[in-house]
Amino acid sequence: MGEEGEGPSSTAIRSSNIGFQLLKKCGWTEGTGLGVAEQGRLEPIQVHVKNDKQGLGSRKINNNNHLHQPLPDSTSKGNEAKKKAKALSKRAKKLQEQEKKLQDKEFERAFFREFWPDNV
Amino acid sequence: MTTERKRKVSLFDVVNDTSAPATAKLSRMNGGAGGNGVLGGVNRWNGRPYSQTYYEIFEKRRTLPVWQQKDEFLQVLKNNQTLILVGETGSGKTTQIPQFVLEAVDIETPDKRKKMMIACTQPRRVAAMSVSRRVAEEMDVTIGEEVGYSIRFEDCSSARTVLKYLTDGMLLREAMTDPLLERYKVIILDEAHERTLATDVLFGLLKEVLKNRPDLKLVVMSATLEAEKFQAYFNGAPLMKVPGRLHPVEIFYTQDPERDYLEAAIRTVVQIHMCEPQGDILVFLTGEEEIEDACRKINKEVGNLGDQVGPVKVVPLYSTLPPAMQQKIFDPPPPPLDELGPPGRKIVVSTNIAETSLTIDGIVYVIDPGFAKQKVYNPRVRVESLLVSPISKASAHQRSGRAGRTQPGKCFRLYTEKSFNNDLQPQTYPEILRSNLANTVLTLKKLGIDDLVHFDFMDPPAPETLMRALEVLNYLGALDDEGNLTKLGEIMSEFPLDPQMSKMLVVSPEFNCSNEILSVSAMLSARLSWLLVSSATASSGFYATSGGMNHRKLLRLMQVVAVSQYSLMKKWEAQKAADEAKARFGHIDGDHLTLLNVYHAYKQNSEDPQWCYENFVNQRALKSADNVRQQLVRIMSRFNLKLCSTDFNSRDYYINIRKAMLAGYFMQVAHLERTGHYLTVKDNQVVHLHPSNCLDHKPEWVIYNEYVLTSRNFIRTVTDVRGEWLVDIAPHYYDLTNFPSCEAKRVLERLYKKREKEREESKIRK
Repeated sequence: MGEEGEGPSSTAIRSSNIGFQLLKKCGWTEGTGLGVAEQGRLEPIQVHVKNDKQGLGSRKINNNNHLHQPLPDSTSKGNEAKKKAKALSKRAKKLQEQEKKLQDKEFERAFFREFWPDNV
Repeated sequence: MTTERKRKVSLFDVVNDTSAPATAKLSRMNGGAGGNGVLGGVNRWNGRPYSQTYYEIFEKRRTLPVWQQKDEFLQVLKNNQTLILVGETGSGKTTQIPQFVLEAVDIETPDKRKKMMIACTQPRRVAAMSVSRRVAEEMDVTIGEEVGYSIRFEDCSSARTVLKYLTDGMLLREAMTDPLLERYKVIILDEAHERTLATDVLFGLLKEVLKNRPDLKLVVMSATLEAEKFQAYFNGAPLMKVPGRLHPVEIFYTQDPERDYLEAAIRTVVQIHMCEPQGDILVFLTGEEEIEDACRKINKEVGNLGDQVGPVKVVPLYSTLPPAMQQKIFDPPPPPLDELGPPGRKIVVSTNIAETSLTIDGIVYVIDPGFAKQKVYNPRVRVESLLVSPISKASAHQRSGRAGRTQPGKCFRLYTEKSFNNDLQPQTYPEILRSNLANTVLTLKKLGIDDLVHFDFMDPPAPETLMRALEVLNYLGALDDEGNLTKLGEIMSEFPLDPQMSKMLVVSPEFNCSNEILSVSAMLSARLSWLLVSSATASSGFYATSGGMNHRKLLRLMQVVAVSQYSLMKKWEAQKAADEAKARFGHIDGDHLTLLNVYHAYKQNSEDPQWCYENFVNQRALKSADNVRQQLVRIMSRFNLKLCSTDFNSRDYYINIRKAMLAGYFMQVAHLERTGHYLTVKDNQVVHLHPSNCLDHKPEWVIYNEYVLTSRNFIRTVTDVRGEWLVDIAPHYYDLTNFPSCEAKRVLERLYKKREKEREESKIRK
């Protein structure tokens, strides 16, 4: 039963989940994104709660400051799951970085083009 | 205050307003364009001669920037199936482009009495309504006839309609019955840069439809930088640019990050008012509460300065403000106190609705702290919420642009330039990445799109978001275990509601209470946003008194229906009204039942406005709920769903209603732990009953309508349910082999055992 996906905390939905299985039946392969070229993002967008009036950049958003704190985990699988999540998030981070670089580039291009009307 | 601000002029914020060629083009237009401007003409749409107003408006219309490119636009439209048009707000694209299209495109059909239509989508209901009214006026026709609009629960169009403004969500719903959208000749997706959920789905859908309908044309209109992305997505469709009327805007950054952006914003306002020449100020803040707070403080600070500065008029702006109050942003600034005194200034303090969708003339100074409230959804814990987050670079750019509409302006960014570069993402995440997709998936399934995985999303959502949606729909019985739409799912998809609510409606006849469930659903969905009276008043009232919150508990439900002049009322008055209403209609078993009581009382008093006033009930909100209810009844009868009620005097009257609600909302249940706090079932998140609830006890199990994420997590609109019902009504969800271990599980185990025992006993008795 420990392998149930809807457990507390924000770990990924597990393969025993009916939604996971239904998505597979729709033709999804684990580890790929959605979309025509399966190019979609792999991880959901991170959620942070801001409760103060601190100005932008005055304090870096603490990545550990996750909003949904899991209750004390009674299962022994906790550690394993954590490790897994860590590895996953490392990969995701790398991907996100890459994505960010690409977006930045694209933004610059669009920015340039947009505001030099002759260019269009 | 970091007194010395770094000064930086952004070259990119300037679009040259070259007026000379414009006039040349205009004079060329004059007298052309289908005889539009010729006096004494006959309106081709209704055969009546044009009125005087028509000509007056026409003269003004012709000066809109988009008119300079009318010919070019029509040429590109003629030669292409899809085109992308980029234009700032104020270019006139929303009102003029559809009219250009109407003038140029042949919408006749073989059947002479029928014409094809032009659709123009809007992300917001208010915009669809107000723009269509304006365009009807410009075309000199009656609204609802040749020009109409269609929004959820309200269709103002007729068989004669040739131009229809509608919300993007409505067009999506129309596609459910008309998959190729055959009634339309041209579809215009306006405000595409907002990337609403429905617009994004329409993108993918229309790409398919266009392949199958060579005669259909698509115009995508956007105000921002993503145009190139659109172009790539729409297979290199031509891109046209309409210059806005933008003057240069100087951008100022702070040298150091601000410790308190609200305080900094207020300080900046005061500084501008003291030192800068005439011109109105626009301040961007995140929400109602913060905005009201800022307005008070600004008034106070400026008041402290006395006569040495000019008078100010501080105007709040947020979407939940009643329309009449919203209109105030268009008031002129106050006149100077005496003839030689310093000039007055208007200060608008707004959420990001003033970023793209509303244009306020006269703004010269913009203050941008860099935050906005955003909807976010975390599929891992299944919570959708509005949270304060940093804005994107594109948003920051839009905000600064607001300063240059009437003359050169200044934008004060309350963050460093480094922050701008490093902390802001280039674009705001499109809504599809931030939303619960259960409803969207149901719609897509109904549209016959089975390969959700490879659907042509411009920005595909994360797989887990889709998993959650599929899971929810499967548990509700809308999808079978193969992911196919069931009969139940098909009926559910016809309701323009969340799947949980649709499910509750569809099964309500089985609980002999469909009449009551209809009323509850109508009350829950008719929450016209601006009638949601001042949640700021509520929450600040609460936060201020969190110590003694019991006797000051606010009834938000009452605020929903309470008097709309709330914002004018003082806080304690609002509170008193809410308490009063609560005493009258509150039902101790749950907020849903309280809503039902209010609705019944309203009907019993024959919808009397006087009664509403005396009972702190907003008549307009109830009227709209009544309208929603009628629409829902129509859908119910279309599927032969019985309208029925349990006898009011029966003990089962409220029990049946609560059971029916549980049949839809069994996935939104919280359990009271022995420690005294609530945990959401399966997700095990700690939550608190929202202080607005009207329960007189802490029930062991509750269903909730909304999960509100703040420093504490609240569940709002809650009703008491019984554990036995959970195992009776939703055993597939409360399947203990598939349940995280927790207190709720042990309780459920006992309940299952009890049921088992009962069954055996009855067997023995037989």
